[in-house]
Amino acid sequence: MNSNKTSDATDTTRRSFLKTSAMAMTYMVGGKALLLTPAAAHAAQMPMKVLSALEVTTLETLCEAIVPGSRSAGIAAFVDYQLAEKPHNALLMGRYLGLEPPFAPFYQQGLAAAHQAALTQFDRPWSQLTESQIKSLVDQMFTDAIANWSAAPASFLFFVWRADACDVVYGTQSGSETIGMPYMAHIAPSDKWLSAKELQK
Amino acid sequence: MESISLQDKFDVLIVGAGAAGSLIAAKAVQGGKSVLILEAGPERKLGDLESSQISARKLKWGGAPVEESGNHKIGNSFNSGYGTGGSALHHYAVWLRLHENDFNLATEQGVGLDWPINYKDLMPYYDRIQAEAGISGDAKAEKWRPQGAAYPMPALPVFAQGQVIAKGFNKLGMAVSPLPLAINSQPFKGRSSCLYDGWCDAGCPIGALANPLVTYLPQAFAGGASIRHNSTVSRVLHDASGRKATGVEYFDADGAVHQVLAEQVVLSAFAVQNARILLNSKSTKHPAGMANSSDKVGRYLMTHPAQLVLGLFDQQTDCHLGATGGQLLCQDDYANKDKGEAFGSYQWLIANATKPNDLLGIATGRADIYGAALDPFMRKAAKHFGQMNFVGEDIPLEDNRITLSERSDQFGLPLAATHHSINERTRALVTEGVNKGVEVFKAAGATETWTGPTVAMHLMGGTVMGADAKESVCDQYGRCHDLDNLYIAGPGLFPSSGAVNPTFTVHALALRTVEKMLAAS
Ligand SMILES: Cc1cc2nc3c(=O)[nH]c(=O)nc-3n(C[C@H](O)[C@H](O)[C@H](O)COP(=O)(O)OP(=O)(O)OC[C@H]3O[C@@H](n4cnc5c(N)ncnc54)[C@H](O)[C@@H]3O)c2cc1C
Ligand code: SF4
Repeated sequence: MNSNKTSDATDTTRRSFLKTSAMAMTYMVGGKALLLTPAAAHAAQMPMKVLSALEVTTLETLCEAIVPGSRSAGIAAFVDYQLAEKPHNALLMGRYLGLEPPFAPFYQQGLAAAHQAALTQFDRPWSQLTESQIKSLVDQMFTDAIANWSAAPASFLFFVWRADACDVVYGTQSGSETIGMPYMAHIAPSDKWLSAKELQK
Repeated sequence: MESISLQDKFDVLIVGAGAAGSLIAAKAVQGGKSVLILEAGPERKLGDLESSQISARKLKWGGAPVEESGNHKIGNSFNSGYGTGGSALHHYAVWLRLHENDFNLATEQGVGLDWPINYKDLMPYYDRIQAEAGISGDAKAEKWRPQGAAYPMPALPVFAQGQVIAKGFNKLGMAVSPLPLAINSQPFKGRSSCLYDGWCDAGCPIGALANPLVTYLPQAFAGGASIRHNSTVSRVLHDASGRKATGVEYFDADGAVHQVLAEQVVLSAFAVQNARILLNSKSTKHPAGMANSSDKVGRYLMTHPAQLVLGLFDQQTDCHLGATGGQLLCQDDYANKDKGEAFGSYQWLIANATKPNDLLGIATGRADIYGAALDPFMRKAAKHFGQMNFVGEDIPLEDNRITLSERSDQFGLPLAATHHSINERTRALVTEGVNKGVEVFKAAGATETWTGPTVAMHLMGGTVMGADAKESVCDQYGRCHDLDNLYIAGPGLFPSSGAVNPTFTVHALALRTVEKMLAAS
């Protein structure tokens, strides 16, 4: 039961490239465990564990409007996966913002309120709104201007979802490098994720 | 629930494998003691420390939720770690000494509490710790620095971000020095030197930063100390007299209860959890919780009020380079605590290495930028962003405290409920400091400047030390006044916060504590 551990300082070389990733998510497909990035999980349309189809399209649509690129970067797959994790393993920034586990009700109540706002104002779900209608709702969320909002304050949800979307778009090695910031990892995210194509084979 | 009595007995039992616990474990085994460390969180190795702001979140507090109230909540989940190395595993290694004027707040300023020791009592311990763990800095350039040995390593380099912001300080007649960091500017005791890649928040896997996995834990294990992970201590046990701690009770990951016995017990589970364990250790001899005859357990909870000043500059800043803790220091406003309406010392940690995402990342501070405007902003900021951190003194207030909640955790233990508010004078200090910071950024040529919210940085107090047993929990060595062999280690001991980062002082105090323990046994 007791263990005498020694530091593995010497095992970890300067800038060694281990096959690990912050964002790797494990899916079971045909009895096999697949490691996927959120983007690959999105492309492969991996089944969600917590969010419903409506919640997924609501989250994707509003996040895409807040942080362009977040839909294909796998925002829904990322959030869904983290909501299914044990709270102390969850990698959502909401952990820093005073959210108490379980985190799913916070997200789901927020998505339900956003859906309701779309119905009230435009009589259709987020996925069927025009660009200007989406922008209008997102602006209203940012300023807490939506009447009868029945979840955590809309501006707080906006902040959290924007942060999640920034994680998947800018918090990756390629996202950082795309905006011109060298990533310089010690233990780098692997680029060996199964791509959607490989999955479909 | 299954209860197993292991009949284990150790000379020294340490609760928490963070900064303080690791040091005490190492010194205790070197002093010939058998040592067991109980750690609530999982085992962590250097190889787990992926370079990612996202996976860094795994290192944060993962134990029972901590309730928070007050006008300045303590931000426990950001400010605490979990697992081998504790918070110190991913701390930023800004290692500063308290100043002489930090020790006698009540006597000199009529505010808060006095320490039972002075700077001169701690100075030799600071000197020894920096020689052991390694600090890079330029003692001469730190014109505010109290007396003490020069740093064992030269300062880390200053990159473009630091150089750009320094111009603003200089224009306003303020001084800056290299920031002293427990990060190697050159190879030190078999550990690598820093690569200036700014991943400290995710934990430094190459051993350049003095975290417990590369400083004191290897020494503890080499000397025969044992550790049990996923072991959450619930209470301290005592003998019939109530004066002697006999060991602790803890829950393993499966919820089974164990007891371990020891000659000396050290609580080094960080400020909030130390108080929670004591308050939960009620008995007929200690009806208000252990070591709490003074009713001071949980009180004087403190955190440094902190606020970011951020901006964009015409010059390229390379803000991804350097250490997360920053490159430069300014303590021009440290010496004078009584600022009229405002009270307290403050300092600037300047030019923190910055990533695009996460709480301290570029994107987060500008929630007002979204949609089509976001990507151009991110591309510009990636090259031209700069930031610095205001760190202010908190006034120790009795009603800022940790109590037990009505709600319980998975083991049926009451949660910690924390209340922390800052008063008008502290609020005024933050306003004064941040306004000055914005001036500095403008003087440095910032084309755009904004500020973050006032947040909590570092946790202190809750088990304060003092000369009077009626007014404090521990004596000057961290020994609880009410028990002969129960010691507290960590920033919970601080009777006042100063305005410097606490972990260098945590080490210095822990070294004093363990030497006292060895002498007492
Ligand atoms: C992001 C971040 C950056 C920081 N940067 C700096 C910095 O630059 N400079 C500085 O001076 N300080 C910094 N700090 C603060 C510093 O980490 C702490 O002051 C220091 O680690 C406190 O040491 P400690 O040993 O008391 O607690 P910790 O290092 O937190 O160790 C406590 C350990 O106890 C364990 N524990 C808790 N409850 C129990 C229980 N019931 N049973 C068993 N184990 C338990 C915890 O899991 C943890 O591992 C930073 C902290 C954070 C989070
Ligand atoms: S900047 Fe230096 S100390 Fe920080 S993670 Fe990188 S190598 Fe380690």
